[in-house]
Amino acid sequence: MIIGIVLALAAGSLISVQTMFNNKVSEAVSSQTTTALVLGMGFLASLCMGVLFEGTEYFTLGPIQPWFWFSGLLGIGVVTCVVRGVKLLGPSNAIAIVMASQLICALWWDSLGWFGLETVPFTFQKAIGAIVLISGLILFKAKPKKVQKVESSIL
Amino acid sequence: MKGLIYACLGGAFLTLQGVANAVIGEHIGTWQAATMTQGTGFVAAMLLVWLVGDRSWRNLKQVKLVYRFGGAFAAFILFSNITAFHQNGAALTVSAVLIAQITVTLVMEKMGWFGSASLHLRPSQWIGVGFMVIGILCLTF
Repeated sequence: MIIGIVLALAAGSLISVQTMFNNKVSEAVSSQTTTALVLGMGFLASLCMGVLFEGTEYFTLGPIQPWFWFSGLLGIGVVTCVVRGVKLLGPSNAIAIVMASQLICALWWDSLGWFGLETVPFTFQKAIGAIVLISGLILFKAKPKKVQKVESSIL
Repeated sequence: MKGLIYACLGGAFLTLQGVANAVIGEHIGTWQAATMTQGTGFVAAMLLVWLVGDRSWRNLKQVKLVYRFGGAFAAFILFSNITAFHQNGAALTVSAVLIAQITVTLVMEKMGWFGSASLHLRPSQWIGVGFMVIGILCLTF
C-alpha cells in the first residue's frame, strides 16, 4: 500500500521533471525536433526496461492489429501540444490546464463508453468533481485587476 | 489563447494515448506497448522533421546533456505506475500521480528551478490549486 503510493507520487514528480527537461530542450530546438528526441528516448528506455524485466520473452509478441502501428501519432500529439503549451503559458499554468482537460475528456468518453471501453456511469460525485476541478482552474488562472488601481493611484 | 488550445489538446491526446496504451498492452504486453507507441511515434516525428526541412537539431549541442534524456523518464514513470496500480488499483494511483504532478510542478516553478523566473501565487490561486486537488479526488474515486 505505502510502497504503491510512494511509487505513484514518484511517477507524478518524474512527469513534472520531464516536463521541465523537455521545456529546456524546446528552448534550443523546434517543437518537432523536441518531440522526436523525447519519443526516441522513451522508445530506447522502454525497450531496455522491457528486456531487463522479461528477457527473451519480451520479443514474443501477441497478434499485432494494424492500427497499433499508428498509435505513435498520439504520442506526437501529446508531446507537441504539451511542449508548446508549456512554452506559451509556463509550466504550472499549462500543466493545470492539461490535467483538467485530461480528466474531463476521460470523464466524457468513459460515460459514453467510447473507444470500446466499459461505460462508467456519470454520477453525482463526478459532476461535483468536474465542477470543483474547473472552478479551481478558473481561480488559479484568474488575474486580479489590482495592478491598474495601483497605477492610477500613483498618477 | 494559443497556449490554452495547445494545453487542452494535449490533455485530450493524453487521455487517448492512455486508452490506446491500455488496449495495446492487453494484446502484446505493457512494455511492448510502450516500446511500440513511442517507437512508431519517434519514426513519424523524424519523418516530420525531415519533411519540413527542420534543421534546428543542430542546436541540440547547446542543451545540457541531462535535459536531453527527459524522454527516457517515460520508462521509469511507467514502471512506477504499473507497480502502484497492481498494489492499490486505479483510483488511488491516478489521483496520487496527478496530485504529485501539479504540486511538484508548482514547487519547481516557485523555486525558480530550471531557469524559469520564480512564480508568485496569490492566496486565491492556492485555493484554486486546493479545489483542483479535491476535484481530482472526486473524479478518480
